[in-house]
Amino acid sequence: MMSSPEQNAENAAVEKSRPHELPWFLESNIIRWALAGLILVLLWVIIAFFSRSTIIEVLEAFIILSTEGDSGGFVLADHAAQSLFIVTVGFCVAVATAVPLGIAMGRYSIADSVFGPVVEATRPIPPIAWIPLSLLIFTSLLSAQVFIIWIGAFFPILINTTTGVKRTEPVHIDVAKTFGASESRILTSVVIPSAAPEMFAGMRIGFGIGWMCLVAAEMIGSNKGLGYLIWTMQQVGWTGAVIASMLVIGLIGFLVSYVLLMVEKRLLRWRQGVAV
Amino acid sequence: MDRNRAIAAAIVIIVVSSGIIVAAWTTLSRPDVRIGYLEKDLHQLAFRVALVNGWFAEEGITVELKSYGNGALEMDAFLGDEIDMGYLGAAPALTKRVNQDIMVTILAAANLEGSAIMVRKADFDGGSITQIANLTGKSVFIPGPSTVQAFLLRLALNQSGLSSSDVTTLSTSPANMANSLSEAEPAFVAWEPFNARAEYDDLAVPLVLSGEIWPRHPCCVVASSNSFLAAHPDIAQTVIDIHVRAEEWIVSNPTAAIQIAAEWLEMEDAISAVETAFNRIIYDYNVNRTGIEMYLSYLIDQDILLPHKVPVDVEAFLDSFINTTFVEST
Repeated sequence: MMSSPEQNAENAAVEKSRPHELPWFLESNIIRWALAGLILVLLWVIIAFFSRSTIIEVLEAFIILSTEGDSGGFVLADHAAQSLFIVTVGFCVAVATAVPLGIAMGRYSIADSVFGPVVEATRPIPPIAWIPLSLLIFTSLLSAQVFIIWIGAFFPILINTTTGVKRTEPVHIDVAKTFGASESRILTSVVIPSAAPEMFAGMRIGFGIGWMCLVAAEMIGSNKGLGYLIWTMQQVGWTGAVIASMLVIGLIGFLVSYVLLMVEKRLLRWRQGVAV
Repeated sequence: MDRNRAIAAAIVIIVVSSGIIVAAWTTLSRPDVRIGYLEKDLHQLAFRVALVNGWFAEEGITVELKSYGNGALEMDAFLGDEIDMGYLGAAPALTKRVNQDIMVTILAAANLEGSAIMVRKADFDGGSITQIANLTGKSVFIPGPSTVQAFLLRLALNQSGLSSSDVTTLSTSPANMANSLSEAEPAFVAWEPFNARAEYDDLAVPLVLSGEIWPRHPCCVVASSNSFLAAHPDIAQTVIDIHVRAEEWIVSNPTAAIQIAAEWLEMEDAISAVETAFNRIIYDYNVNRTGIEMYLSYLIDQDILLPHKVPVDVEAFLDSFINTTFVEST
């Protein structure tokens, strides 16, 4: 995109007025990393004080759980695989249901007026509050667990998709109509690509919330899973194992979020082109 | 800059003074004893009876009540100095006393027995599951691997010639168990009143009562933190006196006790279920030390206790963990 010298000067003035200048000690990457490390250490000191645990105990628990497993004979990898399976299924179902509904609500006012109030009424209900009902609705425990993950992931994907679709530039749609594009062509060539960044952001947030619902979902009834592990290790008083399981949950959540971000960057390379 | 400094100073003053006020309030309003209990657990009826009958006030002690979702959380409350005494299961008390060094002492029993292995009514009526041996290859809900109920299930399996590997155990909250039953997961083991409630709702029937598996097995107890016991033995004694009085009152006045229980459990619409549950519980303040020792062996055998925490001298450990002199002094 081309810009005039006046616009450049104006942009420079706006940039200058922003309070984004770093203090001198934060200019070095090494110091910034060290500061982040220091915050993590301080956080750990607080956790260690209140949980009466040491880093050695956590490491020991991690090694024992990874090699020997728990009293049920399942190692950490079994628990992680089970959790990933449940969350992935719940997340996929959430994408499959929230994206079409979000497109419909964003594009067609009739769908928005019908489903909008329902969504707004059910959205504030926390996933954990659905546990008793999920047991009555579903005959299998796995379905109930997937349902809890779905509840967590569904709404962020739906809201972001709806917002993304609504933000489609009307002029783009008008241009497509002028060239005689059908409604399905407008959807696939204009609306969905335009809403894709918001949809991807919703998916990342949705996966994160679905992953956060893991402990609640696995409390429904299981003998495997990272949430189950935290729950049972708390009961037996093995705090090192509780913290080790929490760290694994955090690490996997971070890695999945990172992968989704990379996929998003790869699929939406055109965004950078537009931005530049 | 001066304005910013003034704002920063004001924030610091507000935060610090709030902290001081909260600390002072906490100190000034501290009751004689803070007692933890499990919400709506029929095993702990003695506590509710004492409360409803006003016996704590009658004895002149101020009590702060704190309810918890399970015994493990209540043990964490002991660790965090949230409570001084508590009604909880012997199982979490023992497990977390050993694994986490949470220094508590059992002073009295709250009840004995009062659990059951329940099976889906359709399976029982259809004749597919009428004895423990029929559970082979099925999943059974338990409240957790370190609970007395998990131990009861293992005992029942062994008594039927099976081993714990013949069934799959799934951990969940007792409140969820009855509604989770299915063809693949047809049974659960829980404490009252969840069993009687499931029976009343036609969801499950008892396959075997815990008293038939392990007569007079330990269940809920009254425990005190060691620091509170050392600092306020007189208050601990008063609480135990009230507890013993409540236990005796329950045995002497079952109808009135059931009425108190029904109101507490919000099961006035199902008073017969409360009565059924009540009759499956032995209200006795005498601690079953042998039973607790048996349970300790189970925890060691199942690798639930951390290897370096397992008591070397079991008798000496139990001597320090169980103190019946308060009950004897009543």
